[in-house]
Amino acid sequence: MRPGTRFERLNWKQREAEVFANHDIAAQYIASLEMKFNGAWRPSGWNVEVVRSKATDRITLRYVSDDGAVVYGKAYFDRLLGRETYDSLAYLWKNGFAAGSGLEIPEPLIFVEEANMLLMRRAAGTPLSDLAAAAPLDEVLPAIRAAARWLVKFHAADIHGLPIQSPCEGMEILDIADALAKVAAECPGCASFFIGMLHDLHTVAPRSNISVRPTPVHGQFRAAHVFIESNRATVIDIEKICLSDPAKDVARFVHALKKNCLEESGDAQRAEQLAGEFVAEYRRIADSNLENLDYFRALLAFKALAKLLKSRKVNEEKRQAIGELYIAEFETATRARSVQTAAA
Amino acid sequence: MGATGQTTSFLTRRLALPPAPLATASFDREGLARKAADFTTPEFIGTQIVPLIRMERNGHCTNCRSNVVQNTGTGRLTLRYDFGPEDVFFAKLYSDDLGPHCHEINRALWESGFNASAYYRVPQPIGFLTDHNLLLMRCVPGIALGAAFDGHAAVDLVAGSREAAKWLAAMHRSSLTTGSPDSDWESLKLFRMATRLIKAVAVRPEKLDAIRELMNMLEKRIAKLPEPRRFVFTHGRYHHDHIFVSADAIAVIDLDRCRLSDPAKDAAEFVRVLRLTAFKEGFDMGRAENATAAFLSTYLAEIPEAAASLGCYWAAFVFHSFLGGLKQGRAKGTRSWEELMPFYVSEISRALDFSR
Repeated sequence: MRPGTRFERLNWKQREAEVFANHDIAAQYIASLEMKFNGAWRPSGWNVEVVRSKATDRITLRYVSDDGAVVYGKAYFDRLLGRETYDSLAYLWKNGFAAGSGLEIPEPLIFVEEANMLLMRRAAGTPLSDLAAAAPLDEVLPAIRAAARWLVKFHAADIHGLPIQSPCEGMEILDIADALAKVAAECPGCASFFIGMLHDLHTVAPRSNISVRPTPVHGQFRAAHVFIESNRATVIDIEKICLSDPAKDVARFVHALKKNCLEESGDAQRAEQLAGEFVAEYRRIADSNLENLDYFRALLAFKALAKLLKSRKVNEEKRQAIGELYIAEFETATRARSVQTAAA
Repeated sequence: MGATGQTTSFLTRRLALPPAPLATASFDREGLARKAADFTTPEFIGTQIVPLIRMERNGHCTNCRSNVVQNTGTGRLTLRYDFGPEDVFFAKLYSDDLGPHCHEINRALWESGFNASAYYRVPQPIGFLTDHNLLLMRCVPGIALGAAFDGHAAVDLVAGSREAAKWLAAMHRSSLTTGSPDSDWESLKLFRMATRLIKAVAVRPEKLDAIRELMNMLEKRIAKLPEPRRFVFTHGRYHHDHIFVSADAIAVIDLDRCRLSDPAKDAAEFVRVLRLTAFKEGFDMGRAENATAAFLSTYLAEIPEAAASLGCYWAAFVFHSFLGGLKQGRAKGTRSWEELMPFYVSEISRALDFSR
């Protein structure tokens, strides 16, 4: 559950974006970084821009000094989230995810309490989403495998004090129910179809609260958050880290990869191949983490379908094409479990 | 929505297909009824039922009256075999593989102390006919606690609720661990709730915002369920029609859904059904309040750890019931839907505030 109302968060964002863009205030916050950059950081000569502001509860800013040093700032609406995220990053940095390890996070530099903002270095390399869209396969496949290995390493990390996602929150049943209710209220004819899908989703649901040992889960693990430079993978955006079912991250990565491909009229076969490569690499190292993968794959496809049906931004032709593919993805995931169960 | 017409057209082809079988769909009632008819013949009783009873009674069993007492489409059918006032038996016919499991649970409870020598009991298991998927049990003594709502003079709702709490606490303290543990989404009925929600808003779209607001409150409460919690052996359908009260015993029937789960599940179900029945039937709500208080105080004195999740389960079960009622929008008992709806909402609020 996110703190504050949507209105409160939007107000905060509007106000804070203006404050952070102000040179004097930013200079004050980041002056202490000079030491970290061995004197290369000159607060008097820099530019700031808001680089990402889609979410209502955080703002991402980029500070670029005259001589090219780059620092990213992340400011948070939630008073606790910024500090907790900084602590998690600092822990990971000191415990195997530092520069040079190959499977990395950006270096956390400082947490500015009064601004509820963490500052960090940038992630080196090209977003994996760009490579997935256009790079030759012999370049993108190793990158995909590196992303899978990063995730395995992250899921094996022993981070103390993480919030534990309750079993029901992790399953997101009421989330999907809410999304479907909104569609069914305006399209009562869809109800029986949704109920049939819910029944299929139920059949692949885990049988108990503790079917898989909870691990640190990234929460937003997708190709756009993975940066590749040679054999080095660096992953950003860990605000949603918590202890939960590791298959959720794998399912999300696969879902986002295919979704981007579908929505941008990309090569579906290529997306399928990349997704398969990612799952295979992950499974090769940590198969036991994937017991509930089919459930989460089906869940994400179902949620995306509900969102698509509610969307005003998509024309009918595209809605039908993408909708059919979400349904196919859902059916593949639910059927996969049925086949496994029958075989067992 | 994006475009209702567009969405409808997009799904038209798929909606034209026959609907997938649903989890809540009725089982083959007629098929079970046909099968059950064979089980009431003198030949079947003589060759299958009597030998089991003789083994148990070591006596003669003749002149049996038999009939089907329940076949509500749940995939189970109940038969009654009456060999005389001291020899009444019930048999449960299963359409799935749950029969042997239920027999095992019934026997385990009986052997663990819920038997004829104790005050708190379950039906005596007589035997299981594997070839017929039929579980035979001896009738329990007493009158159903639910008879209090019909004005039965021999049943006191408050005293009976207190005894029901003690029976439940005894079960929850038992060391039985048969079967796999329940998941929270099953015990809170979340998938069934989602199905009912979709059906309800499809019929009553004007209620969407109000329903979502209630569900949002429930979701917040569910997120705060303590974790991990101690699971115990639970009944699964614990309400007044399954609890039989007499001077010598409190006996509880319908053990089909017994499994390891959150103990609050049973307590919440009891309170929800008792209060809703009282309201629907125009029963004295002051008396229902006293019964609720007697049940909860007695039960929580024995199983205090259940208090942390009881409000959550209570609210979830009332909300589930509310969605079912909303879809139908019909009067129940003596109450119109216009009377029932605010009652449901106030019950949800009360449950959410419980032990917060």
